[in-house]
Amino acid sequence: MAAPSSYKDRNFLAVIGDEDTVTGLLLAGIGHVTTGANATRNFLVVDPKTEVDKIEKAFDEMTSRKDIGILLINQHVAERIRYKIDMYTAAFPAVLEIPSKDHPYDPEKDSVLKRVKKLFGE
Amino acid sequence: MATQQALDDLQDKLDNLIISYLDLFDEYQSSRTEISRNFSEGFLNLAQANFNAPNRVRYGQDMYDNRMQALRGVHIAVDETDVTAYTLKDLTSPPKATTPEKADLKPPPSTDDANPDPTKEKTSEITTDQGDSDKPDTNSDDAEVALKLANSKTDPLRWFGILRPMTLGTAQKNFVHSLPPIMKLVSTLSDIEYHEKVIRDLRQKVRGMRKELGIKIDDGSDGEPAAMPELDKLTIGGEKSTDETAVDNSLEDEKQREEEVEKALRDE
Repeated sequence: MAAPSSYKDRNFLAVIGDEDTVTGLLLAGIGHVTTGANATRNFLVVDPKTEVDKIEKAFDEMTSRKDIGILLINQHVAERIRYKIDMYTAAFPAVLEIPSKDHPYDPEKDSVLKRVKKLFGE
Repeated sequence: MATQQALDDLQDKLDNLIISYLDLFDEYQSSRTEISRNFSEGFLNLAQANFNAPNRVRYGQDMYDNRMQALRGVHIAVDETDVTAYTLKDLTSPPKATTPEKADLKPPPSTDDANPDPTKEKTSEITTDQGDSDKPDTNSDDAEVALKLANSKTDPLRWFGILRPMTLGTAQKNFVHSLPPIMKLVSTLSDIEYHEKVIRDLRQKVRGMRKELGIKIDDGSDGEPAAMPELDKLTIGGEKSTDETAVDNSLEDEKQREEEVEKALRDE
């Protein structure tokens, strides 16, 4: 069983996605900018010009933060850093792939569906 | 010592686990559908808001408030089997002891009552929907007032000005309503992972027990496709199977017979 210290302070949701997804989720009230000298955000707006390095860095940063419980990431953005997502095995924060405006949810790319297929020998 | 009865019991247990696993998977898919629906409605409303925006402004990252504080968050609870339950948490009513200065900064409740905010209803609806008992222990009335005050002051809609299209508010509602299914989906995922682990362990046990009892049944449960009998006879590249050799031999015999017939004809 996971120690309560590993999750009790994880209060925030974080999002890595395109502008509309981030705007929508910030409208829902999940956006948070920490106060202090080195203010950090719990969101990253990704556009087609955003470099993979930047997405990877944001992913690493958000997954290493101790106050984030769930990291939401657009499925098409996750595809750009697929190896990193597949390698991620930590229990917290949970990483969830969500649809975006231009890229609706694709079951073929869903890691859970892939796992189910594997479990039932398909 | 493994017995047939123990094996049957284990098989039943495995079957039940697979049934509940598939139920969870069904839940997973329905949550996915709900999230997709809320998101697509939200995107559509956001697009309409952008289309109807005065002065052709775009409601996007240029208008975010860099002092934003989260209004909604997540509460995590882990049970003894490591299955994690995620619930939506209202972050606008923190325990009083931790942030006493915030309470002093709040405007009197009357100002808020005079300017009713449409988002208030929605937020209180979300908080009542979650129904979790793990929320910070505050007096329910106080928490409600604090929630309303915080929302009127820190509502993200305010970043986008006063003359914003109504569809922006609708988009906000869509995205707020997508949060509970997100929580449900992540919780289901954790449960699915636990079930997968248990199913794998049980399958291993069943296989061991079958071996012990000398039962050779291939139900394809180990994730490998059942071997096709005709494929077993064939080999790739190396040695030829007995059937193939037999075919080769018969071909050679036929050739020899033909040669003999030809020779006899020539002699005649």
